[in-house]
Amino acid sequence: MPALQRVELKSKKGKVTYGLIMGILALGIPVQIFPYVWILLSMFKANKEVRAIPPTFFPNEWLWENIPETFSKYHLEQNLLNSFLLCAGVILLQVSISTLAAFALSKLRPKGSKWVMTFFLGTMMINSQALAWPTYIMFTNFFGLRLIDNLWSLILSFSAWAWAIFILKSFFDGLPQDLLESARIDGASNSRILLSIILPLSKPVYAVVILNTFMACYNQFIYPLILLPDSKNWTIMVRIFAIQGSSSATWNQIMVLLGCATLPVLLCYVLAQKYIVQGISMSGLKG
Amino acid sequence: MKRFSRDIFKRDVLPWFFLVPAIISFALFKYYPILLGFFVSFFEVNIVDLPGTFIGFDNYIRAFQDEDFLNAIVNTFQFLCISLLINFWVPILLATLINEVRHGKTFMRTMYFIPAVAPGIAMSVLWKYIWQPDYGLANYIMKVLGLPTQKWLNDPLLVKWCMQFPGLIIGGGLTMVIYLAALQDVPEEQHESALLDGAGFLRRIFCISLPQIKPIVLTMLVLAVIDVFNMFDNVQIMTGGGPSGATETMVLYAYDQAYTFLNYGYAITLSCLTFLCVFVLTAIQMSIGGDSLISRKDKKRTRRLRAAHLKAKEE
Repeated sequence: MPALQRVELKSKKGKVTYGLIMGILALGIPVQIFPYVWILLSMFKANKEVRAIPPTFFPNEWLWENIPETFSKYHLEQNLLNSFLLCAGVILLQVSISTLAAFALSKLRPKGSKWVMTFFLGTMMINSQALAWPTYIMFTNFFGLRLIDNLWSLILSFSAWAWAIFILKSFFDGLPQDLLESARIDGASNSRILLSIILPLSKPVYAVVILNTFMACYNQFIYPLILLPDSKNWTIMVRIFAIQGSSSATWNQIMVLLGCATLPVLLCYVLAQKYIVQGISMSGLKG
Repeated sequence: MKRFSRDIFKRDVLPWFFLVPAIISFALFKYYPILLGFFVSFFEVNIVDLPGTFIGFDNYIRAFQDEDFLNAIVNTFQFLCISLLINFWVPILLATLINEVRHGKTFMRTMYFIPAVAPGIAMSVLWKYIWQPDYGLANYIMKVLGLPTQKWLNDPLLVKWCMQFPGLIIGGGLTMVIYLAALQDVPEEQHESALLDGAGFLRRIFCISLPQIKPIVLTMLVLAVIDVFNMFDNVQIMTGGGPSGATETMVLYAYDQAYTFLNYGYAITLSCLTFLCVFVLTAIQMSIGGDSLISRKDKKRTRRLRAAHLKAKEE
């Protein structure tokens, strides 16, 4: 609850304090959205103008052709496609695996399932940066297959995510056990219960999990960088890294690149803000 | 008797089929790589003929004699100090301020959360552009203010500050939302009665609100430290470890050892060392969560918070 009480707001001192707080926050807003605005406007500038001193805010001339030029120069469509394929694969595999596990842990609770939960949550103590190179070594010879330069290596290694299981389990825990019992008396099998009763009731939590998986996966950097060395397999993030370091890149094209990379996540957020913030508060604080 | 064993099968064995895919996946892609990492850290790894030659503790001895790696550790601690100095308190302050907003709170929260949505890589590139010495915005602002222009990312003394600076002015994000939700749980009656006792606004913030969210602040503190130990993306983009090793971090150094010099065994040894640091820190954080001074509810909350926040880092 706000520390500033309603009674206080009527006094002069309270009004000044409140006004001051609002003023500071309002002044901060332009700074917060500055990165987006700057990338958006620089996308249409000439390279000279992006590097001009003093800088211009709006482009002198809106160069729409910057966008198709950048796409054809760097084959961005391929990189974006790789990113989306990766996200789709991870979402399918990881969400199915996590659903099955969370259902068993929450509703079926076989003997020893507590230990299994600890087994899953324990992986949160392993930082992914430390796993990157051992994973590379593992995929050079994965049961006789070389999965380096193959999206499957990434999809498989992201399939284990304790957070998803944790969120799904805590949501399933909230669904009444009676539902399950009565279905079982009617002779429904476990998989039937999961598909016909639990899943239809859990749409909101799936929105949260899928969105967060998408964002986490899309923003991945070190794993794709290590596991996909061939440039035609690069995700958009690796492409950005490669281009900004090369000397042939011009800043207006880099800005187009940043814009294209940011747009999908920004859209995701704007369309589904509710679910993303819910994901934080669900796992974090409420309940 | 037969019926009884069938029931046991149904109740205690069948459910395990639901768990098997996840157990395989976690064992294979989380636990196995870290064990493999520790295993190969005792080898001079040959990528074609794994694991290569056994060399015992040589990789570890080498790590602690390697000046570049020791430099990376020193850098990590410097980054840590800077981060605590100019980054750590920003989300707390923002959350405290936004918590006071009575009209349009959702709008404010959205505005201060939205920068965190952008991919970190894209933001690092943008900041690299801002810090450019000859045409970047930073030097333009310095000129406008009549201050001497700087070399920013090319200056070994300034570079660490430049890399942490974005967190000072755009410091909301996930952490801020978590603090905000915690502040909203502070009971209103406490503020009311404190007001009756004559406590001023700032007094109430420092003596009521902040102590209430202390467990979360401690959790976030440990997470901030873990973040610094995991630094890679922005360093790799903005400086690649330079100038003259001033921003070399442990993860980046391990990456370079493997990627540039193909010293896989040594790189993995360094990864294992960073893993140990993070592991110890997480253990500390968990024991904070189990502190007897914290009420049960807070304990539960802290544990969940960890999950919420690690989500951002993992995967």
